[in-house]
Formats: sequence, C-alpha cells, structure tokens
Amino acid sequence: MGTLAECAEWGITNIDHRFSELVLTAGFVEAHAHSMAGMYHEIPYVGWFAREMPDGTVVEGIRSTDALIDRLRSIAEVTPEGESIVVTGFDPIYLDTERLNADHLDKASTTHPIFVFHANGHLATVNTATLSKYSIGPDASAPGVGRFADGRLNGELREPAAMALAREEFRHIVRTVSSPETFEHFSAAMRNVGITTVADLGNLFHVNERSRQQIRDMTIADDFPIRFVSASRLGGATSDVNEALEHVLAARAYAHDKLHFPVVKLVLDGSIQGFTAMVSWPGYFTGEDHGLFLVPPESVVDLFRPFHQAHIGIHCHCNGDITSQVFLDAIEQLLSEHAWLDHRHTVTHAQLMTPAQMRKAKNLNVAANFFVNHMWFWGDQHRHITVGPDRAQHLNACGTADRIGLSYSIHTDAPVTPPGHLHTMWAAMNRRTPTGDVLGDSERISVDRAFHAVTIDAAYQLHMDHLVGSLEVGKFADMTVLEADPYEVDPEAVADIGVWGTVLSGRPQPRSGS
Amino acid sequence: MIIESGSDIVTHVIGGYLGAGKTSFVRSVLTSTTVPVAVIVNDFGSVNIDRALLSRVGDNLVELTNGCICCSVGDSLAEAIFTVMEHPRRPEMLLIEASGVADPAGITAFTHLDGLINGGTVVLVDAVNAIGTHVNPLVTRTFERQIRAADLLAITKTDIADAQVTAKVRALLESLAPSTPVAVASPDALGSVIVTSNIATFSDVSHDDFRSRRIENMNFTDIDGLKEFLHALPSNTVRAKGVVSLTDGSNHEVHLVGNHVAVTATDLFPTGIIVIETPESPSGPDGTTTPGIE
Repeated sequence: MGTLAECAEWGITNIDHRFSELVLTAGFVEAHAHSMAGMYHEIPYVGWFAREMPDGTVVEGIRSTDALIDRLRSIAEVTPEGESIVVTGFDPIYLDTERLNADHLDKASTTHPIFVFHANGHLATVNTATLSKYSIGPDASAPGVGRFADGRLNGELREPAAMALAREEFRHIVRTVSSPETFEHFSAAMRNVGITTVADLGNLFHVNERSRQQIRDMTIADDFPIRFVSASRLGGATSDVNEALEHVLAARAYAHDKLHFPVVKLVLDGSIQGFTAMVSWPGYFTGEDHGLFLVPPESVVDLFRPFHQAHIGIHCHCNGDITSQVFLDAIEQLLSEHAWLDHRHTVTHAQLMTPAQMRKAKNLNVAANFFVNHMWFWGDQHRHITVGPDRAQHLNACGTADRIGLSYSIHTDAPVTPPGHLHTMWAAMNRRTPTGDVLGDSERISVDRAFHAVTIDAAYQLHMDHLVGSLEVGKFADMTVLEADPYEVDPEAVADIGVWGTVLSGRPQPRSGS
Repeated sequence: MIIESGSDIVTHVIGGYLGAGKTSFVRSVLTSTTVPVAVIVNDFGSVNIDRALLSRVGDNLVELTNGCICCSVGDSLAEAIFTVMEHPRRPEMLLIEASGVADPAGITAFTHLDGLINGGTVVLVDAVNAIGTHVNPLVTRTFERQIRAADLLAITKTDIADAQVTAKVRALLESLAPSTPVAVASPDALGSVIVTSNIATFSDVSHDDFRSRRIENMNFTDIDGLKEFLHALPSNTVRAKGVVSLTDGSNHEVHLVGNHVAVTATDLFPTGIIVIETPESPSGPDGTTTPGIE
C-alpha cells in the first residue's frame, strides 16, 4: 500500500487503472441490519420514501391513498385472478388522507385478496376479498379485527394474532423474509449501496446443523458479494443459555472468510415511535406509554454470563434510556465477576442514551451503535409526538459521544430504514428532518467522524477490526467504490454520492444494473 | 349459533413471570399426560425433555413416544401454531407457554384462528417473588398485565414461601383481578388438573391442593343454558370438563378453566361433568372475596 512510487519499490508494475475516475475508500461496515431486507423481490414495497430495490431499480414513494390504489391496480393487472397480492412497508404516518381501509383497497381489486403490511409491523389492511376468503364477518370476535364506527369491518388486522387470520398472506411474509432468495437479494442490495461487511443482527442460523450448513453454503461461493456477520439471537429464557452458547460455538466451526459469528444479540425493549421503548421520566411527550421489556430485566446478567465468560461480544437492543441502564449495570456486574476487558459489548440503537450513560459505557469499554437515520425518517415525529422538543435534540447523540470519547458506529437497521452508509453519514452530519428542521445542532459530527463510524468503528464493535474496516497491509482488500469523495463534497450532499459498487478481497463487484 | 367444530383444538395459554413454574408445568404435562397434547414453548432447552421420551427430533419440533409434540416458537408464534395444526398427529389439546414477560392476552388472541378454540388462560404466580416483582417499577406493568389476562390464577412455590407472604400474594392478586379464581398448587398438580382429558382418570385427581366432584343428570335445552350453569359454578372452581347431552340429543364437550367457559359439539358419549375445586369454601354470590383496592 502506498503511493505509486512506493508500490513500485515492491516491484509492482502491473497498474490497474479501472478506478482512476472513481474514489476508493475502506469498505463500509454495517453493524446492524437484517437479512429480511432482501424481501422486496417477492413482496412489493409501498412505503412513503422512495427506495432502491436489490436489482438497482428505484421504487417511488407512495404519497397518498390514491397512489397506493394505483400501484395495487397495476400489480393486479399482472396477477392471475384469485391470487393474493401482498405488499409491505406502507407507512401512513405522513399521509394526511383518510386512513386506509378495505373500501379503498376494493377499488384496486375485488377479485384478488389484498394484504397491505404496514411499515410498523403491527398492522395490515386487507380488502373485502381477503375478509371473504377467510370468512371474517361482522360477527368476528378476534381482538384486533378493526371496524368502522357503524360496526362494519374496516379491513384492519392489528397485531400478529389478527394478521394471521389471513393465513396464506401472513405466512407468505413470514416465509419470504427467511427464504434463500431473500438472502441472495439482501446480499446484492448491500453490495449495491457499497457495504462490504454486514451484520445480520439477531438471526437463528446457529441453532442446528442444518441451518449452520445452509448459511455456510449460501455465503461460501466466490461471487457471494459481502462478508456476512451472523449475529445469533438470544431467546427469552435463562435456563437454556448454556445450550445457546454451545450452538454459537458450534456455528463458529462453519465460519470462513465471508462468514463470521463474533457476537450475539439480545432485544431488550421496543421502539420509540411504537411507544414500546423503556423511556424514563418524564416519559413520552404525547401518546400512551406502552414501554416493555422483552426479557425480564433481572435475568439479563444470567443471560449474558456464559457469553461474556466465553469471550463472545454482546449487542443489546436498547432504544430507551431505562434499558440502556439495565444493560450497562449488567455489564458492570459481569466485569466484576470476569475481567474480559476487551469485550466491546455494544448498546445498539442507543437512541436515548444519556451523557452519564455514555461516560459509564466508556469506562466499561462498552461501545454504542446509534440509529441516527431516525433523525431523518422519524425526526419530526420525535420532535412533535414521541419525546418532545428537548430530548429530540439529543436523540442518537453522536456529538456528545465524541466529546466523551465513547466508541460508536451508526446503522440503518435495514429494512427498517434503507441500507446504505452514505445516508447514515449524512444523517449524523446534518441531523435534518423532512420538514427542514435541524434537530440538535451540537450533536452533528464531522465527515471524518462519520466515516470512521461506518468503517473501522463498526468493525471494532464486531471484533473484526483486524480483518476489515480500514485499508491496511494484512487485512482484506475490501473497498467501497464511490463516484465522489465524501470529504470533498458539501456535507448536505454526502447522501447523494453515487456508488459504483465494491471490491471484496480484491474482486471488483459493480452494483446491479451497471 | 355458538356451536364450533368438534375438531377444533382446545388451546390453553400458560403465562406468568420469570420463575413462576411455567416450564415445570409444561414438563409435567408432557411427561404425564394420557392424551396427545401439543406444547408450544419458547425453546426446547428449557423444557429439557428426557431423551428416552423423544421419538423424533426435527428443527423446530420434537415428537414424544407418548404421542405428544413439542414445538418451539422460533421466529413466529403463528407459524408454530400452523405447524402444530398441520401435523399428522393432530393433538387433542394445545398448550402455549408465554414468555416470562409476555402479556398472555396477546397470545390468547391467537386462539381465534380457524381450527382452535380458547380453553382458558392460566397465569402462574411465584409466591416467593411476586411481591418483589410487583414493586419493581421496571416490570410492575408487565406483572399486572399478566395477572389481569388470567382466567385462572395459581400461586406456586408456597411450599418454600412464608405463609404470611403467600397471604399477601393472594391479597395482591385479588386486588388486581377481583373476579378471577385463585388456586394454590404446585405446577405439577396444576398440570394434571388442566390437561387430564380422560374422564375416567379425571376423578382420580387427588392432590391435596384440589378436590373433585361429578355432576350428572343435567337437563339443558340449549348451549346458552349449559354455559350459564357453568359460569354460575362456585367461585372456588378451578376446572371443569366433560361431555354433556342436551335435550335435543346433541352432545357437547365442556371446558372450564377459572372464569373461562368453552363448549364445543362432539361425537363423544356423555360423561357428565367433573368439577375440580380448591378446598376452601366458595365466596359469596358475586364471586369476590376481597374488595378491589385499585
């Protein structure tokens, strides 16, 4: 590595000019995404924001109920009569038109069962053909079956128990998110946006021999385009943690250059926009507090202990500050029992982490992974609805973390927000919302900090900084190939930089469609 | 019409906070049942089924030599339920174990799926730790939601709890859910009470925690009358089960767990109803023993 002259001293004379007009950087590392992000090949995307599909095409955002009806109608035209139409990502939070109901969907088709899965994952709206298919009538007693004021069914199925009434359509989603085709599209989508290493944070590939072999087979081909970090999800019971550890250790035997099992994942609470994150006083700005722990807080130390003692990193989903504190207290306890100082356990999402929690995290060698894309995708909602004007300024407080010296990355949680680190960098650097607000001027960070957060600092918290995250002799030659230099363009324009593709282990991988 | 298909699988949800005995309950059911039962658990590891009992082990499902099947939730509870419903060994009964922090009501909602019938939700409460759990502000709401979701509450671990503490736990439950029956029982005893379906052995339930009686020669003209009768059983009724013939000659299977009553059409012969009660005397006609203090 070095200048042309320095390389020539090694006797290198074969000069490859193919990237001379482009910008090569250390490959982007995404430390928190989900492989279900590849599902749009099978389940059309109908969200508010335009989104790039795994094949490189861009689907325009749905900005009204009429636009949704039009989209569904065009899908119906190419779908055999009687076959179901299942779409996903519908996000009415920005729509000022009438709330979506079965009458709207009937305008798109009365002969195809339609199932519109909402972006929040808690709700589906279906048409009359779907209600009829499953004999869901006015006398339906299942909780979550929505009604108009006059008692007529409005097509809403709330929460999985009600969504599952539309059995085939619901199962289509459940099965698609974990299908091999979805995994293939996921890897392509990641390459397309310049990601070279990605953590699928919280999957179950480790649980048995068949799935361990399956993930090995899916990732080992020469042209598999990403380095895949399979982060095993921990379940809810304490009594099985030793078995879970055995599974993770067994999975490590299946690892290769493009498959790694460095960390495990536990989800501790819900989301801020769903009012299910554990938020301390004074609680939510508007709306009812539905905060919940997904595992009993007093069991957290016991859940983590075997992994900490086996020197396996732990990434813990904490959106609220209460959960961040429970996690930090657990790590402090584990460190007093077993001094693994280089653990790099990570608070992931970390959206409401306080300055005091960041100082404690730093002292405990805990890292953070901020969900900074929220500033754009839900910033206005956080400002006006969920946490209010003051705390919204310090959501995903990258600036404070820098002043404190806490190591952190930033992530997309794809498919929750679209994959791609130019956008996370842009969100962290600008903290702009769709209505033009800048939320938390003092929390904005420099391009240099943002670039480190999406490369080496992400690799660090995955225990992979000796392999990826920077261009150094002895590490993988993983690069992101950009059409402009993020350090050179206007900070507001970083998200608009084009991506040519990536280089993985020295192998060029142009994006789809190029 | 209230009549549901006779082949619907009677489904019970078992809830309760961490350490309340749900896993012991499930293990006891799987190893002692006389009828094929399916159980959906959060993970196999915790149930720790004796290897000698396993006949076939798959990724998300194990079959036991006694005809039971045990399925883990994995990524989707709905998918686990569908797996059980489509399994060639169709079970007579399904138990779904809720996680230690789950709201059982969210799981009971799944019993509205075609092919299932809600048999009632049992929430176990650990006598030793319940008060501490309830006053922990991080989980107060979780604990209270669980109590309020129950058709039947059962206080477990009273053998290692101080009697005064058990009394306090009972008072707490009665204040949170004034009309829900409360039993004191080991998870094992409770397992046999909930699951026993063989009417012949049903009356043999002879745990200290419960007593049983048989009701025969009933004369109901319709299902509503039968249901009314079941709802009016004394407040110390924990469980009732049996097959009842209406005056029109149709036969109906009866399932009662605490406050919950389900009646399904059946081809089985009438057996009368076995009623299982806690030993204490029933409370007044309004079913409450302690005024609510909310």
